[in-house]
Amino acid sequence: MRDYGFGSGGAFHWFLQRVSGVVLFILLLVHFLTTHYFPVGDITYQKVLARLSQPGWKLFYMVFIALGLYHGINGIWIIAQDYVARSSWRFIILGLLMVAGLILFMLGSITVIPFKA
Amino acid sequence: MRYRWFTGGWSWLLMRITGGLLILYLGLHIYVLHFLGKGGEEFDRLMVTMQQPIFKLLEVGLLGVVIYHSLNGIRILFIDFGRGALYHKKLFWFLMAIGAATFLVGAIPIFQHLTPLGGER
Repeated sequence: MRDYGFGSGGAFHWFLQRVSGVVLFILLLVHFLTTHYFPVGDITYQKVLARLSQPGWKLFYMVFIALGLYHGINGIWIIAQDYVARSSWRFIILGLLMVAGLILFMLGSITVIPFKA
Repeated sequence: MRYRWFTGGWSWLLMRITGGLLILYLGLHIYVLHFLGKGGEEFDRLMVTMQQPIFKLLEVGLLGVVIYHSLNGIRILFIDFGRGALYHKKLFWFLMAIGAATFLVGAIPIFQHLTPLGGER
């Protein structure tokens, strides 16, 4: 059976974890500032509508969701590999993580993409 | 297994814990925000619930977790791609000082239901 660990693209994901981290840092800063600090006051449907009905913001959030899920799920996978040695268990965990990621990505997509005024 | 708990060890463990919390939050965040698709009234009702003190507290906690994870991430980049291994402890405390200041600036408006600009709620 193929070993789901060292020598299976780990270095590539190690690198992508850093790249996605840098991008997420910038996107998160924009996200925090635009949702929580400017404009003023509580979050309302109207305020979300004003942003999320624009194609540019849709793209922003699709990239944000995809990278966030990749970075987070890859993170759990990295931790799991430190504690789970058996390749059959690793295979199950990786499968579950991918399914969870895909479901959350689809849930995010059906929120962001069709949203309009 | 035995660990030697110095700056590097603690920051490594905290990175994992904050990372775990953040992916849990992201899943919850995506789930809650899918209520946007159910229309304005239902979403605004949900947002009113989010104004309760317990959620404000969680929001401030999230800010702290995000700041730690981001800044320690920057430290990791210095170690992996630069010469950060030579000064990683100093860098850690330098970044944590920046983090504490950012946390205070960011958390006060959340608790006051206000933004840094002031103005309406």
